[in-house]
Amino acid sequence: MKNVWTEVNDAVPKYLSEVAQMHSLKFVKLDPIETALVGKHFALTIFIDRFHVIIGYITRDDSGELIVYCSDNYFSEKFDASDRKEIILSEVLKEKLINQLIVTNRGLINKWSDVLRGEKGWIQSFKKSEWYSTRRPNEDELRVLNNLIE
Amino acid sequence: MATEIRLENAEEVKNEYISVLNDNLWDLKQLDERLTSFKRFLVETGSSDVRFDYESQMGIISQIEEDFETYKIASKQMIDEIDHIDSEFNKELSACVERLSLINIDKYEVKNSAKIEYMYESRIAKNNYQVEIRKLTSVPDMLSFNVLMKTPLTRAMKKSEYDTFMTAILGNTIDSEDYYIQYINQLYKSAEFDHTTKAESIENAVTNVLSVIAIGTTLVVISGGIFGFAVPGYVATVGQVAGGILTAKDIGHLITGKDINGNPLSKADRQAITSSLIVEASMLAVNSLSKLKLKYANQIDGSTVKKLKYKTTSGLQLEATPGKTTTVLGKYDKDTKYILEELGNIKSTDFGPRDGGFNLLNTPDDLFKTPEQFWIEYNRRWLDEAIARGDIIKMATEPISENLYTFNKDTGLREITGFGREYEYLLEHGYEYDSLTKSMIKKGW
Repeated sequence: MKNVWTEVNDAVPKYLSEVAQMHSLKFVKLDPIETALVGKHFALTIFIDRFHVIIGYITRDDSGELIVYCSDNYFSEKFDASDRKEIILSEVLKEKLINQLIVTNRGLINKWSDVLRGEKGWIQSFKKSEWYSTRRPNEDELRVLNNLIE
Repeated sequence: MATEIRLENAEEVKNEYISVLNDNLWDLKQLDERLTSFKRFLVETGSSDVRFDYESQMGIISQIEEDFETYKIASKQMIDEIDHIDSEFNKELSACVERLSLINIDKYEVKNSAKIEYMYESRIAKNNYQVEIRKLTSVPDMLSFNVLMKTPLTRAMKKSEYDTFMTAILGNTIDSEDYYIQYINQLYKSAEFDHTTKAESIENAVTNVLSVIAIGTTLVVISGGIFGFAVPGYVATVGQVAGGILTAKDIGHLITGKDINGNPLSKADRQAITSSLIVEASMLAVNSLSKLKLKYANQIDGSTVKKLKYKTTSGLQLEATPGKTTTVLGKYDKDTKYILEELGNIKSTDFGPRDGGFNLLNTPDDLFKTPEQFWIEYNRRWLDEAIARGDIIKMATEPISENLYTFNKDTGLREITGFGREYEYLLEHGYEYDSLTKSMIKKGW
């Protein structure tokens, strides 16, 4: 069923095309409001929440099981004015969410290139941060990504 | 006497129907907002190029939406309880569909105050059955949206979109009348809207106009299906009727079993009638539940579910308590989305008790404007009810920093999440978190 959030999710490949192209990530829709950018050993997930775009990071743990690092705040905290330049602030929900996709694209490129290259050293720092949190993938994430992430 | 109709594969048909109607209602709401904002834009900018008048139809749309929310809720019980329906309900259903038809797109015209020239082809019969085609121009007082799309002014506004469209299908752009019409037809089909900057408002508004027409025709097609009208095969897609708009009068022709030209319907058309009847049966079935909704009103949505399959990220296997309402708090992306899906995803602003069941906030989509507005108008009220009842309050998501706060990506500001607001509100009202039972417990209890 169409709504603001499904429409924004449909637009994820458009607004994150730059980061995907730069790092050879493949777009995969996980459900109507969640899209993954899949690399060889990891995937970034973009979840269109009610008022926010939420970034997640999925990879395999030491036992080979998929694990989700809830890294949205950890990543977003580093985004700065240079990632938000030319954004026209809006009170319209859809436009706010689109803006967040634009900032996410720039912020990931500018601040998290190591993550995008597939490096995992950042996880150690993440574990020490205020924002550290993990969970297991939900059914859709598991079904789709288990075969795509090596 | 009522006609009895036997339902087959009702669940599948009902779901398909509800999905289609929901999509159309969503489109209507979007259009209403956009047309209203376009009118406001013209007023604010003092534009005199296009005079445009539109009165919001949100009242009608809301009424329709309310009806269908009722049908959706009621239809959950329908599958188990009813396999026979009768024609009595068709009356109530017809009233609902009639309200849909009140959204009359025909009246939307633009006053041609800018004296825009409209180019058209005139076919003149010559000797020996030859036809001469002349290209003429006129300056009509009023421009229909269909005509507006073909004016030089609109073409200029839509040039870049047209070029993109042509490049996508041909590899390069061509200035051609035929291809432009093809492009317009494509717009009818997609009726897309991509509002990003104020400068594009006029251009987007023109696209909106097409959306009105497209959705209008879609509604006619659907309405025909609902009533079992003879919907000719050629009305299969919006794109195919891009050249003309079906009206209630046209539907009248369809009822008689003849197409809009008065010709008898073909075998293919009769097949279309059959498929339409399936939709009708679905609508009747859904509608029939309106009679039963009072009987089942206190048993629908999460109330009848005692234990959930979903395991929360806080580690809970949620179980309801007889005689008590179990209110569940959590982050949407991590937990409540999946719990709501298991409970049937029923949207409601009824914040009343769910004795022996689960209580999660799940309001209609269009109530979300800003986090502050939503908290004040709905979320806090919902939580106040839970506090006043003394509900059992379970935390599907752990109340840790990552879940309580968020960085607003478009401002860079650290903000509290909706889940964070709920958690802090409960703390302010004398609750504390019990990490063992993943519950919010009133201090001193």
